[in-house]
Amino acid sequence: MAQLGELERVVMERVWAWNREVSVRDVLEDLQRHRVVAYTTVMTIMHRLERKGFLVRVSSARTHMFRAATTREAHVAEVMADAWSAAGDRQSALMHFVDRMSAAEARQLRALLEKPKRNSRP
Amino acid sequence: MRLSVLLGGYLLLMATAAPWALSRIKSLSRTPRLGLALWQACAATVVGSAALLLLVKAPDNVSHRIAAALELCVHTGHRVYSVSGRGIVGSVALIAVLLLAARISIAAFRVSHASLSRRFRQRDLLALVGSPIAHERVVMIEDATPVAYCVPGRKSCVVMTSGALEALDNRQFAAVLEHERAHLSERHHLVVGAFDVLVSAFPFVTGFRLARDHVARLVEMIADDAAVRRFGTEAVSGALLRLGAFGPVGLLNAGGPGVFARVERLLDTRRASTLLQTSVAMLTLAILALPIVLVLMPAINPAAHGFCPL
Repeated sequence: MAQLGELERVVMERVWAWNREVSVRDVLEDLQRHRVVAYTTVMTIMHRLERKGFLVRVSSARTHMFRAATTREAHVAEVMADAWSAAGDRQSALMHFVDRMSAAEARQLRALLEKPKRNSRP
Repeated sequence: MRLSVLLGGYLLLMATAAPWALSRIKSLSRTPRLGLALWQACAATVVGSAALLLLVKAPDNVSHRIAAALELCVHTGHRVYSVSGRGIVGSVALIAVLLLAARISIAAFRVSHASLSRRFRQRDLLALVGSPIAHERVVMIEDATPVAYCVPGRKSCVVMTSGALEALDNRQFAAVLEHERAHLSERHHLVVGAFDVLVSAFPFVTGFRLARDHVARLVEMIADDAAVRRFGTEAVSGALLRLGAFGPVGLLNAGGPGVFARVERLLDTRRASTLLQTSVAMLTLAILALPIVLVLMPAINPAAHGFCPL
């Protein structure tokens, strides 16, 4: 199972790198340069990635073509945005170490940090 | 008749005045686990009393069974445990209990569905763009802003941004990890989630909202304590200050006490006295026991035993 997750990463990295529409065969041939993998495996993976919203199927006359839904950076941003919207809803879906501070509180904390330590006992 | 008045009064008290009173007890932060149990008892007793209040108005056949179970004379059982002769009220009461249960169940489904879909999305994204660091289940995300959180559930993990890794020293990093792991191992998401369900099911009961906020705070204190035990106060308060100062800025914190309160608490070296702990524990038990005692009192009353006034 962990291997499948790893393959999903590899496939997405390839699709992002190519930055164009790709077919299952394109990806398969590329993967087969370094590992043993079957067509059905790659097809399953790409369909899974499509279900998860990372790939988008492009309607094409010949074969199934896919492209990346968005950039890698956008997904990284999504992780953060998603993590905070959970906290905002007062939902306990994720557990943050600290809640978002208001600008004033953050300023006060920074001031605290800049103050030299009064007692520097080890 | 008197029983329902007593139960009703108790219910109102626990739903309104009690949460307000509990939120004023500052010393609960010195014994967060017991404090948590107290809040949980308070919420449980509200739901339990509501159910009991409705059940004592049960229709004839139910009260027959209750009386039989308590080995009371049937007539006495009738008198105390049901609204005499009014079958319709009794049935309505029974339906009300079912509605109560249904409302809670629906809220539970709603809350857990929302929670789960959020977590699954996080996991999918992290599997794709996160980088596992060190050993077990810690994932790094490339982002300059220092952020740390955990994704609870079966395939749980702790998430830290590259910004957090830069902002914290080794000990602080380990302390944050320990804090998040405490959340995971003690299933705090379920603890707080239960209160989310109550808030969702009964949004008009402001006591539940108060309870949820305080329980969320207590749970953070419990996790802070776990981190302090392993890595010391300095590491934890240092991490709190840094992640608070350089983390993302949001809207004015409506209810959260924020970093200051947590740091102050860590610096307060007063221990929870045995008296405090015992009092909280006793109060917890009393809150839970009282409605049951109220309901069983006619049975405890010796005059009712085996004496059927026919």
